Amino acid sequence: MATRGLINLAQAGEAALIVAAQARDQAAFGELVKRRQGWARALLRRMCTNAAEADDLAQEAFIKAWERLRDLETPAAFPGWFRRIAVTTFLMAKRRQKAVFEDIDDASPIAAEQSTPEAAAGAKIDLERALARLSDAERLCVTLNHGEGLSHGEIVDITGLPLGTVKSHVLRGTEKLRRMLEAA
Amino acid sequence: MTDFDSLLKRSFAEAHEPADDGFAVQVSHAVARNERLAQVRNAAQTGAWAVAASAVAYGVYGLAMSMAPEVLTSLGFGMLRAHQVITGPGANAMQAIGSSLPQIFLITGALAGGMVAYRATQE
Repeated sequence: MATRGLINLAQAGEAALIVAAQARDQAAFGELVKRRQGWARALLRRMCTNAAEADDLAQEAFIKAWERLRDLETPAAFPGWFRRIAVTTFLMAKRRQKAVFEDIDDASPIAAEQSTPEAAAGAKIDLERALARLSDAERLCVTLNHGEGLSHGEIVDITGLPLGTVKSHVLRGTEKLRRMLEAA
Repeated sequence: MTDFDSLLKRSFAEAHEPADDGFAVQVSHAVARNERLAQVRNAAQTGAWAVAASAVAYGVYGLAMSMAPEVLTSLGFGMLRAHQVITGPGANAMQAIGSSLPQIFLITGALAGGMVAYRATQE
């Protein structure tokens, strides 16, 4: 069992791991990554839809977290602090790919999602596949709102998008998901 | 909150979360690699500062050695003598400055190099 100084890594609480990692303990940070990777990778996979790209971004986010860990004021704030890093990493990657988040895509009306080949065939559409059919911006806002439980204001704060845009993306994304999942 | 919103939240909560040690190992390796690079950068920065400081000290020493006799003379024989050194024929002072040019360049170069190296390590 891995131990480091007085900390038994496998049995240590997350707060103890974070404090140790802030003191540049790489083993403690490794244990923290082990525990948080599922959440972080799932979050980024929902935002990206491409698993390999999401894992690359999750790795990038963890490395940024390691570099900035001293900025974290309290261990209890870690989830929100890390989520912000993950979302920022995702947005930066998308902006490098010239993705546009501010515009609302009126060209793809909600009703267009009603009839899909899967729905017509009576196939089951799971959440991941349904999310993949949304635009990048809708997926991001829906994931943060419904998946992470953030309010519209918190999404504005974390993404830098205007409030009206966030509300619109959440509303349209949710409605598209509802139609897709109900049709399945 | 509608029933569908609740269903959606539940779906998110129950969705699959990937978990394999390979990812954590990859991150740990990347962190360790970054730390090693940071150590090398810090060592390079310390070395650059040491070299720059040595060059500056050497330059200042050379400059002082070539200028000192004039300054000492002026101090030793009063303000008039000092004035003559500065505004008089000036050959000695100019010669001293001329002979100090390499040191001046060395100091300037070392300071500029040090600043560039420092800036590079901060980015």
